[in-house]
Amino acid sequence: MYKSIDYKFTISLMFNTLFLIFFLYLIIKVITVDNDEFKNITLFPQGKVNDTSLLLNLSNYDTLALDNFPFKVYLEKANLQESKDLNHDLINLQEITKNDFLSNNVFIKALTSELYPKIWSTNLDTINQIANWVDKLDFKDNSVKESIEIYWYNQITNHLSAEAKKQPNSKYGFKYRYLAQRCIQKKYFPNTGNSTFEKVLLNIIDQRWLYMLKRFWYSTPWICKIFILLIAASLSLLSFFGIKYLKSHNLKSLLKIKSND
Amino acid sequence: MIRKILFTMGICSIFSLHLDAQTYNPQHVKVSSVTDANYPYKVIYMDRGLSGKKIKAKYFAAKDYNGTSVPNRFLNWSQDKNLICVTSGTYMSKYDPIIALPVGLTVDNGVVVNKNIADFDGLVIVYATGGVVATNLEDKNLKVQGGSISGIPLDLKGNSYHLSKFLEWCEENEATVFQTHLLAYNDILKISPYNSSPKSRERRFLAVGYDEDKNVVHCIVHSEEHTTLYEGSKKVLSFLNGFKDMEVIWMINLDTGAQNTFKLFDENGTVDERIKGTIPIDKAINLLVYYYQ
Repeated sequence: MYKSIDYKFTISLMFNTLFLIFFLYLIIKVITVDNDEFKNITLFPQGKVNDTSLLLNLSNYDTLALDNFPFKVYLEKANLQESKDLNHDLINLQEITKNDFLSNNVFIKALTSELYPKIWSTNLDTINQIANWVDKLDFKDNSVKESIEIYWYNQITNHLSAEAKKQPNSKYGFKYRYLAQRCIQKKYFPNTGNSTFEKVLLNIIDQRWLYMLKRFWYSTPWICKIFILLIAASLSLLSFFGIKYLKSHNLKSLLKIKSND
Repeated sequence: MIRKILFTMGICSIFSLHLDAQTYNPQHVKVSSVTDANYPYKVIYMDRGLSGKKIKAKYFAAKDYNGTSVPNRFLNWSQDKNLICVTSGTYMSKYDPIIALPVGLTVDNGVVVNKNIADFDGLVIVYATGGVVATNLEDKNLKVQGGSISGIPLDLKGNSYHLSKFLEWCEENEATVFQTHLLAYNDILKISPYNSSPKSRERRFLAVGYDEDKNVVHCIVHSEEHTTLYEGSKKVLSFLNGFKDMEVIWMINLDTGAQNTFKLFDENGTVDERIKGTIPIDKAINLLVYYYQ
């Protein structure tokens, strides 16, 4: 009789251990999510005076081409924090070149790909400050603002997509969700995707059993198939003999033994 | 004699009724099962050139401004259309149809859905006239007609000013645009085993090119054999070049993963079961439709 109780106990212990491991895994995943608030980061030096003399000197250029604009010097001298000063620079540039298309292109390049190595970081606090800076920009020519926004929000969205792919857990963090929402509001959709675990859960919810079976069959190596089939066979055998045992010894006698213990 | 005339008239009327019932000309749209190099394919061969551009495409990317879902938009639109096939198009961000959105730059009938330029090289433009054009974004020479950017080579990935102007053009011209994997371009395979998914699954491809008579043909190739994206693309490109004598201008992937929607109709408008998806249309997240008009 003791033997039979051990047998039952082993099965329940096995299932409880599996459940506990799964539960602990979920708790660890939830605890390790970064839920800190944003830190204040300074993107550009504060209180800088905008030096427009550089732009005035540009009038010496016979033709201003996209590649010969002194981007490095301009980014050092300009007060990038102030939208008003930047707007002033753009108007100056347009007056000098008498070519709005070229001026806009030069100006956008300066504030996007040329500025990128100076301010970009994968740190979400910095990324949030970049989004704040972009949102505050205001130009008379709306296509300039739109282009700068497209560049930076694409960088942010692509970073969020890559991060979700690399570390699926990161997308549940506060900073990530906040930035993703900011992007979505402006119609930039990060491809947060679903991890394999999430896909399995969603397929179970949708009851797509045949699809899951097909995916399992075609996507797993033979060794994995054999391992899973062995587990399934063991569980089936355990259930079969367990039910057979319970049928041969009625429940009342089992309870009696237990109460005697 | 009168009996003979009446009989002939009857036959003619039945035949004309049958012709009236036809939703498309079977000479222009051919569905076949083919085996090439031991790989079985099911092919929908649509000769747009021969049909006098009666074969047209329409793409539904997202809910409209009223919040009408893609399946409902499709149902409303398709009431008076002669459908050839309906398929899921590009990749989606989520499984859930309520929150899922197309991955990469997407514009639906002039409405900007997603401004994010993804890594994919293929940009597909579906015109209001039913024509479909794909461009390789890596070439940096997308040219559109009309508006302030008419004829200017655009670099959408590298120049945000070009992208903003292109989005303006899409709104003005009510264009439909989506981004996807460009598998082949100008008869050359664009993907390799290193830059594509190693997962094996059934595959579906859309190729557009020229037939032997230089007519524009659109071809959907369905491969039930499970292959990686690279293997599948390579075999299908070789099949189209060799077996079908087709000069492939571009070939893209149609999603057969989590949103495997596909419905084929025969020339009488009834559902053809030879190719079918696993997800019903009412759960589709985006739809590319071929119709005859």
